[in-house]
Amino acid sequence: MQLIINGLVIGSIIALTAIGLSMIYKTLNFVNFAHGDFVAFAAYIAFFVNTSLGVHLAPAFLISILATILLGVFMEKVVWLPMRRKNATRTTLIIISIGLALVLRNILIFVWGGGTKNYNIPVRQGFSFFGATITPNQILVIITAFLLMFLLHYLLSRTKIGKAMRALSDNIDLARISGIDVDKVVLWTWVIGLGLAATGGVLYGLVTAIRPSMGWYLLLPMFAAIILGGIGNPYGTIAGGMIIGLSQELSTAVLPTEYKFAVSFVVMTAVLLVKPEGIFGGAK
Amino acid sequence: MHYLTDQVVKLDILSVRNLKKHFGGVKAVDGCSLKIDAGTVVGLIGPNGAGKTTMFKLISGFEGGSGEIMFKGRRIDKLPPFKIARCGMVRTFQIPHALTKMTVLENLMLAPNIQCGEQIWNIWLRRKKIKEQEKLIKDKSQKILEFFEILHLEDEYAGALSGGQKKLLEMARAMMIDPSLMMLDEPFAGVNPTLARKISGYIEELRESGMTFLIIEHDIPAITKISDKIIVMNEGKIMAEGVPEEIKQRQDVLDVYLGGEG
Amino acid sequence: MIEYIDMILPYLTTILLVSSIYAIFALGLNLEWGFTGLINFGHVAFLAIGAYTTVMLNMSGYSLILSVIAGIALAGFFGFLLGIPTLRLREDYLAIVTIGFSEVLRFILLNEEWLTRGSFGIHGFERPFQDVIPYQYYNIFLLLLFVAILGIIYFSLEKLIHSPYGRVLKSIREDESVPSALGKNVFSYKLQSLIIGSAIAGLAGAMLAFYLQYINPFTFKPIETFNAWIIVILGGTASNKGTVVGALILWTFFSGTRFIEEYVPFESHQMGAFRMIIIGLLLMLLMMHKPEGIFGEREELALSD
Repeated sequence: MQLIINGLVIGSIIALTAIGLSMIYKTLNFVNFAHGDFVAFAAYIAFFVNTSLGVHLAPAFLISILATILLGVFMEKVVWLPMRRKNATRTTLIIISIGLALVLRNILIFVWGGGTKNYNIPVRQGFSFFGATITPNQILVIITAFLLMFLLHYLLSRTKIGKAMRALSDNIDLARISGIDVDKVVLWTWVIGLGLAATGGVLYGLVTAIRPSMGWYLLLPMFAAIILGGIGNPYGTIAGGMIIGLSQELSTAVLPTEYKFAVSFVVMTAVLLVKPEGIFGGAK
Repeated sequence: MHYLTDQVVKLDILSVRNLKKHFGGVKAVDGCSLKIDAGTVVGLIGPNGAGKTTMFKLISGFEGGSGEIMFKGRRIDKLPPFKIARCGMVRTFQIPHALTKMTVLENLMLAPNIQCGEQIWNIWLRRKKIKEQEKLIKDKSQKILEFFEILHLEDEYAGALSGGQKKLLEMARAMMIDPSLMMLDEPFAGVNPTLARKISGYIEELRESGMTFLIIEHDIPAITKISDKIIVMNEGKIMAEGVPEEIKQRQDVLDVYLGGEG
Repeated sequence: MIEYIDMILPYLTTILLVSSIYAIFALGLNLEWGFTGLINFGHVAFLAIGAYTTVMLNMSGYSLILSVIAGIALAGFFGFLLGIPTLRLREDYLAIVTIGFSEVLRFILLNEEWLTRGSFGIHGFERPFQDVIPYQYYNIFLLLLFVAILGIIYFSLEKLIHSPYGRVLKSIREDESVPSALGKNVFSYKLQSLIIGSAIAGLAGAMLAFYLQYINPFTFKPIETFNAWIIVILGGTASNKGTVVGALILWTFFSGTRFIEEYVPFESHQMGAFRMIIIGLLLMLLMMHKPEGIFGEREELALSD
């Protein structure tokens, strides 16, 4: 039972961050290998504002999310937009993104060291729940994640910008012809995608200690969730994230905890082998 | 049994039955059937989004759909593109796919498929054979380049070619595998009138030598001039089929074109 | 004067030794990325497989040459295994799966102590001709051996890419729809390229073990993969010559930074991070502004459209 609760918590975080990765993948047509490191970046900014500047956690979270989005927008302006203008190939973009991932992660190590850090929050008593413990923070994570996912659903299906984003991810050339301001929509994709990633990052810090490599170790589960759920299918991604989160935690019952990471690798490879379009079917 | 299949080959080189492909809710190709006789030129026309290019992709195996495709008496749907190509069907692309960082000659020499030097161990084991083959392939490439009148460009990088020259290069490269069916995707698009006339001439000349063509084209006058048969597609379906004169007279075809393009 | 030579010579030998190992390691990646367009972000895994297989087999009594061959073969075999699910799909998938594999492998090396001795690492294995060559000349001998191996690999790869086979690989790198429309089995060629590239990395792994005389899981961190990427891109993608020069440049630069280290007020973890930041930035900037590399075959890659 405890494992299931842990799995749901980590699954919510994977799902939340993976949606951003999936949106960017669909819209810009490349895998952003730096996505996980934006997650870690957000957690560290929240940590810094919270502990070093002594700000309360809630405003610290907001500041951190804003900072992460700003960094993403900056990267769009200095890297991705110019590269799109140059008609850079997908492989070029992938390699640039892994370069960015290395830079971001090592800036965190350079400034805060490679060890683990904790937010300055009081340890609160957990509730007993069918013989397992669930902490208020864990409940907060699950609720926030689901709220945001519903919000995203509303945004994508009801608002103008959301519809433009979907049009863009279906066919960027067609969207351009039909008069959509592509660069603006791409910018919004970064803002929302990284906003979700940042939220996932700061929430992650609530339920476990943060470390610079946390984004790196989230990247593979995120990919696994996306591939499992079908690329570009947000509901599939949520389900995929939950499945990965649960299977990672449940695996610890039989395997050493170090192999959590391997679980998502195995799941992902198996899906690629059997049904590469994802078990929930992605948009083609 | 044997002579029967021979007859099939002579009559229709390609026959497609009830071909379907859906993208989400969009029916790109919706239950199309067609037959192409050996040694003819068939034009495939229709407004934008009619499903012509998807049809090409389905026939050449680049896209999977449902339906039955027979080529030279052999069932080829479900086969991967490279196996279909080896049966003697070759396609070009709407936007020419010249290998820009290879020379024109290299582009052509890549194409033939029974090259001994394409097996890794042969590079060390059968050097002499490779050398001989390379010479033969080079001669053949140069002959084909000469036919298309671009032999003077053989050592240029393909990326340095003009749009029209890239189209010629692509046709020349396709010729290298001695196809029995050549599928051209808009050979006249973005090509100046002189070159377009030349391309028509090449197609006619090759047809005389027994090659079959299936050509997607928007330039109606040009395609009707060289085709033996025209197939008109609209909204994923085949709406008309017949000799060019007949098609040109049909009011519904004209309507589709004016409505779709205008 | 002589004292200086005595100081410089071993130092120079070290740089050349490491460079030749990394040149071979990166040549494997250059075949995959430079000539075939495959993105392998877990190249270090094959280095590790080569090293561990060689060393563990040798420790359990097999002859050295047999152990090395097994290491190469196993690295190639894992290239094959990873290629099967990914190479039919878009290039992103190989990148994801290889990066995941290299991490998982490192966990296994760390945790399965019964097999790999975990973080203690392995030492005390045999080195080639160690009984014949006097100890003080051993590194010189190793250098000669490694340069000879590098030469063999280099000329074999040159022969390979200038053959009809290499022509197909290059066409895949540029636009794989063309070779498949012409009847080439693109998947099979990609798989072969990945197998050969991985096997070459396996060989480099065995060489690295001989040079270091001690290996542990931390020898095979992800950074080694990106060192190889830098070497390949620095020297010019799709240029074997450039790759060899790139390896030399990178290791001269690294040993240069070791001297600087004493004067910079960084702590040790900061120095490591700083290096990674440089590597990451270099990767970004090169891909953004000079994708043909410093010595790249300009005519081959500069003509981007």
